[in-house]
Amino acid sequence: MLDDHLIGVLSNMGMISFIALSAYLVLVVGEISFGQQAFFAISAYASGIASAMWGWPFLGAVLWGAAVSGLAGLLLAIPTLRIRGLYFAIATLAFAEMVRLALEIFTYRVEVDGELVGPDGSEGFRDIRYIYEADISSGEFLLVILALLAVTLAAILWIERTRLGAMLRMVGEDPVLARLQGVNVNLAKIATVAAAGLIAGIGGALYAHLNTYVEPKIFNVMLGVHGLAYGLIGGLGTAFGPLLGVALDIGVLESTRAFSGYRMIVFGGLVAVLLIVRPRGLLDEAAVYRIRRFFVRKDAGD
Amino acid sequence: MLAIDGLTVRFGGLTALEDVSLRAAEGEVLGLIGPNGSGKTTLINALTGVYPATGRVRFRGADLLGLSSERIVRMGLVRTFQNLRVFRRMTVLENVLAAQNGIPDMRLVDLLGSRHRDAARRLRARRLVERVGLGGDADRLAGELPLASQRRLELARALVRDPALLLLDEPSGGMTPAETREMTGLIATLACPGRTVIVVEHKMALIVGLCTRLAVLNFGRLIADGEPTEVLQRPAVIEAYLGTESPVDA
Amino acid sequence: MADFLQNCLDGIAIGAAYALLALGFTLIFGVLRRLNLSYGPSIMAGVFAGTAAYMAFNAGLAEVAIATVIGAVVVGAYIERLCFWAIRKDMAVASMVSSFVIWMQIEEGVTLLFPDRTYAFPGILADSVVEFGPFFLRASSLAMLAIAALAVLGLLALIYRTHFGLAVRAVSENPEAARVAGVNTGLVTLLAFACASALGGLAGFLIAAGDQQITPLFGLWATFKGLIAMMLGGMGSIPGAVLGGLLLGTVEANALWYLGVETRDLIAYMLLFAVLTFRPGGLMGQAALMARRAAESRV
Repeated sequence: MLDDHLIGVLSNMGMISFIALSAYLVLVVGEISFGQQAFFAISAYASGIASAMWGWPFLGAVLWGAAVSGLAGLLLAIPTLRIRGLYFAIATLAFAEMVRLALEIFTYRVEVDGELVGPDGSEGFRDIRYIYEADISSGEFLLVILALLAVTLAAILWIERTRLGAMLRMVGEDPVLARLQGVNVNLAKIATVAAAGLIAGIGGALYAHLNTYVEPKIFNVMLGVHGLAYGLIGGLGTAFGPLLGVALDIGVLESTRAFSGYRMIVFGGLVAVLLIVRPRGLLDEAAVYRIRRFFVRKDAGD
Repeated sequence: MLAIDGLTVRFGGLTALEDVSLRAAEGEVLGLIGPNGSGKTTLINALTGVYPATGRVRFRGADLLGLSSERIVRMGLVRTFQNLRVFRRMTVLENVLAAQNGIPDMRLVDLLGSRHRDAARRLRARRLVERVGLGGDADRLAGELPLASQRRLELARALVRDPALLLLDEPSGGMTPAETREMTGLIATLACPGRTVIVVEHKMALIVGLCTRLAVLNFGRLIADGEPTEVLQRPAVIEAYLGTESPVDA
Repeated sequence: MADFLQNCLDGIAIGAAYALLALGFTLIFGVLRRLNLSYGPSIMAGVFAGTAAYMAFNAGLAEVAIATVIGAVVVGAYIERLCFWAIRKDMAVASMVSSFVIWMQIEEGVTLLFPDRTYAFPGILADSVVEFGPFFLRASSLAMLAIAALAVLGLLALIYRTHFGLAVRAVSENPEAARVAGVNTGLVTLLAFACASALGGLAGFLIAAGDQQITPLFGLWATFKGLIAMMLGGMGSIPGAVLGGLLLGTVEANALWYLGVETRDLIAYMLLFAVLTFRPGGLMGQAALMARRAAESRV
């Protein structure tokens, strides 16, 4: 039905969307993270260890990976609570590089079915063979990715409609004012960074299982900057924004041959110009507001 | 209801407030005046936990100093801002709705929104928006409103918490005389039994019409406290304003 | 103990290069209160301009140095216009992100023009070594240290002794007030950026001449090392940049010797993370940061 190339592109878009949504959540509470790829990496390793070395079922391994990366998010959020803006951004960058370099050293190998399996420092982590063993085709795996992405997106969209979502936007726009409206700003930030870690973690677990092989250098800072840029391109007014950013970059720039070789030049220029003319992306709060007004002419509920 | 004793705020070597002691009784409208830089806004910042301060502040029997801003707000002490602060990317109604965090009938599950309770809250928020005269603008983005309307929004947002102590920091700042008159009328309706209002202002017309008592700050010290017309005639008060602006003409 | 001392000497040698990189970083931050993550790539582009002059015209050392500095200044000006001048003054974070994506642009642009991985660069003092009893230091490192010291003195003189420096400080303190007082803030900012880029070009030339080769990865290396060194010393502090560079070099050299190459970089980032979370103002900038925070928290 779909050819392999298209399945591959869509799978990549789906997996990177988790990093984009994760970076977006941090942007909503008013901070910039250059380091969401760290959580993607942590979960890729943790879930791979669970399924390939401990014999856990796939879904259990994904949940475990997401939980571990969520916990790592908590560990990042607490010490960085006092710093903001540039300082927070550079701290996330340092954190992500620390994680990547630690994985360059991290070795943990056990014998499974007569073969040594497990992360082997800079050699990476081979033989996360779940999809071969369970005989899952790449098309079926794409459905798994899209299903998990749909669940995640629905959860974020739902939260955004609630009072909790309004609270996070308050923290993002003006933390001092939010505090003076009775919002516990610190708690909101910690919870958001932990949730962002968890969401990136779902993507990382899927990535490890689809590719069967991960190595530390995949999780470099350019991955994080792309994830961050998607929200800034697509817009910070709704969780559809980062997905639009992913679609524009991978769907248009990477997949059409027209820009091959120049993709970074086009992408970099696009983001830089958007930051000047639309600093909160295409679907920013004002755009979302106008779209909503267009569909809901009158607030009939009141 | 509010008892301030020996309140002092220092920034490095600069003393912004020194040994200020002041009382506010329940149901009272207290005016707070003073030349620019005399420490009026600093006093509000110290009371609401924005700046660290020393001394003692008791509000309905509880100590305020050292508490975080969100705790203080939840105790019923709510403020507005001299240099307008609204959530510009939210609508007027959303601004008012969002200000209800941690009010007494808000429970943790309400964070994820229960329809029934929210309908009641929306109605209440909409009534308040109408009360401050923004009924027609309820669904506009707050950042698009003119300055006078944003000040009204700040008022609605403070009222939605049903504060026991309302601190208004220059509520008519940047307004035309006509807008100022309307705002004065609006503030006059806010004081009620069980609610104390403290108004920081420059415009004497507003202060004299509204306040039952007047306190004057100069260089971070309290130099007068008493009945408004009498306080404005004290030599120390006239001197504090001399060369900058006359308290009566301004 | 002898190992430790030799490590410290090695660390000071590499730290001199870090210090030079950090100086340009800190100059930009000091003036703009914003961070230029494309600083390293702009230097890298300059070094490639120098390498092009060397390969195409067999240019001498002085000409290569001039080409490097001009290349870095031109690319720096491009970054300044696109990521700093065009973005509103209060959006420091947007400028930082913008400079990060422009980094990708520069790196890909250079890779397209120079498709091989490694290019030769003319060396100076490359193989000469100065000995102190049992210890030794590369002569190029000594030269870099001397130039870093001169650059500090030059920058301090420029900022505190000249009319231009006064304008720079005014813009840094309060851009609005400076504009009202008749300072052409756009021009001052551009010139300060050009100064930083020229300094970066000089640093890039010295480092590449010491290594006698250059790769596009130099941009990443220069940004990260300069950034960490500046943060350790304190963002915006000129003496702090030198101190941070030397500290980073010394810590790295010892980590390399005692713990190995992977651990060296890990420790550098751990140091950065610890400084950011416990003392975000760094060694020399804590008071300035606290004062700025107090000003920002005014309501």
